[in-house]
Amino acid sequence: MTRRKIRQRAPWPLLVLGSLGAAVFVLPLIGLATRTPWSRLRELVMSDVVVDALKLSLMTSVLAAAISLLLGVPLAWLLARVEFPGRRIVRAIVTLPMVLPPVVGGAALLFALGRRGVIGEPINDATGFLLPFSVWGVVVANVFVAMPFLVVTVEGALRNVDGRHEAAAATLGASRLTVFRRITLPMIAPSVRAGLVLAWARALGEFGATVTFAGNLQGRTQTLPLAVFVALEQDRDTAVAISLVLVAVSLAVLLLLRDRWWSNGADL
Amino acid sequence: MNGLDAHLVVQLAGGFYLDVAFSIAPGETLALLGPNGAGKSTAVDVLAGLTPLDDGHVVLNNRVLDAPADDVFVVAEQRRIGVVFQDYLLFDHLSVLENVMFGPLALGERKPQAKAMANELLERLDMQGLSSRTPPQLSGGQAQRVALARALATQPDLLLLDEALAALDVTTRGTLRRVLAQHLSDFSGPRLLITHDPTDAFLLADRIAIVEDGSLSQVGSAEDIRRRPATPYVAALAGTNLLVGTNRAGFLTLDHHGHDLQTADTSIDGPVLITVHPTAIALHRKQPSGSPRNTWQTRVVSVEPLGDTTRITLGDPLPLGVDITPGATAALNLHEGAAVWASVKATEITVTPAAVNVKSGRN
Repeated sequence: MTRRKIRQRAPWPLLVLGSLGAAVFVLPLIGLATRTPWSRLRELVMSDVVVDALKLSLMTSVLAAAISLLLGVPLAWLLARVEFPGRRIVRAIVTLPMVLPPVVGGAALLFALGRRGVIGEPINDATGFLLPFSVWGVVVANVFVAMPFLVVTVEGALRNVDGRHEAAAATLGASRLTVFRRITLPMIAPSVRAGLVLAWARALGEFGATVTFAGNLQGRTQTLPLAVFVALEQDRDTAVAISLVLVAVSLAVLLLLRDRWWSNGADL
Repeated sequence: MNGLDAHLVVQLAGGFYLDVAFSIAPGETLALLGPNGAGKSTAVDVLAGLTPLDDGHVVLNNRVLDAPADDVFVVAEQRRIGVVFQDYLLFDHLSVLENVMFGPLALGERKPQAKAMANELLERLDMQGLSSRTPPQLSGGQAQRVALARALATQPDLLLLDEALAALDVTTRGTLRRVLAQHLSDFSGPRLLITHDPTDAFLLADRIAIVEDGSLSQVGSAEDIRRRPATPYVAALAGTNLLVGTNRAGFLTLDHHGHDLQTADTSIDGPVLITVHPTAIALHRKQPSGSPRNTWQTRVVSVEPLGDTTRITLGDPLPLGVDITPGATAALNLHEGAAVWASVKATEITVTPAAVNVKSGRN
């Protein structure tokens, strides 16, 4: 005997509004698909500009996500667990890139780390190393806009962790670092992974800070979003093709990771 | 002095203070017994080093762990106090073996040694077959033993058990109390049992300290507390009469007293703990009609007025406490040495499975 399923009708106001909400996201995709030159797609996607941009985008976004993880988790811990003067201000500054226009962020990075920047100038004088208009410039711009997503996610998780388990670990002789490594981190792992995916996704789509801080040099700093923007001016078909590549890569990663990483045990 | 010397003064939420002083000798079990909200869990936190004292001191084996007046505070990870928490707080992402290995590893033990220690402890607690499971796969009783093994693995100077049996259902409590009694006696340091359950305190502890509204209202042996309750609360707490005996299809043979009883509970055969609530015992001047088995003649040993009730202590053959109203005391003309008949219904005598070797004969 098969189990009977109870089918419940969704209330119509929720159904109508929810469907409209979904349409906001689905319609642009349809628009993109209708303008796609399907016959020339392969040729367009395999062009040097697109391949260079794709490689660069993947590399810099993954690197930015990794750096966000390395620095963002400890930062989230400090914000969640250590009371220090000005903590609220620091938290506000850390989350600022989430609301700031990325162009402003890019400009600020330039003033700090550029050739004439407060930190950039002494570094350039001493080593000759220049961050802007390099691959590392792209990574820094990406970290700047992406890390807040990881910090916010992880800090929220840290605040929700039941401190009693950490206390129990302390009574067993574990130092604070050991407690963090062996108890806290495994407990917040689902949120860390979710934050990592969010940060990576944000880095992949980053445009404004990158173009301001790192410029738009093909093969060096021209990521996929930048390539789309340039192509829109010159060759609309290429722009559509690149957009499709971005959609495909993002969708594939999100679908894959949501099932495996992001579920928190629930079916998402 | 070796052992624990504690004077705990902490400001509690709601404006009152926890202010209790006690000491525990090595090999001694002290029970801190009190109602929920009396400040017992705060006592756990300050002893373990999770909350600082406001005043007083904690000294363990001559080592000062907390003394606000001298500005001394030793952090939890350096206290060497093994805690079995109320909800065990096992690490769900680690296996049973890894949970027990956690302490030794954190204290700098090498992996093979930590593993050997953990295995030995788990074996001693009859848990060796479960070492690769994770905590969510354990029953309450198994989780309790893992928590105990984890605490003992650090070779602590003090063992602290916070409501160690509270999370278990009634049927497993009796069995686990016996297991716990045995493992407590294996630990040679001072042992502190925090509980709201008089049965746990009376059966597992050598001495009982009763906390009421943040302060100790009485400290003494189970005998002291039962015989001379200092406050009405203690009287009510200690009121439950506990006897040890054997159940055979409802017929109870008592270990220490020459009188048998009959219970309506025939579900458990063998060694049992027998509880009779003081209000369940009726007193009469003349022999009452009814079951002859649960009716006996005795003498009044003491009469203590305790506010709304009067605590009558009966002598041989069954030294039981009886609570009756002052009016009934007067009507029956009860005084020390008075001859009375006592009776109790078979349905009022409850039994739980008992160990053969628990501390017994407290009545």
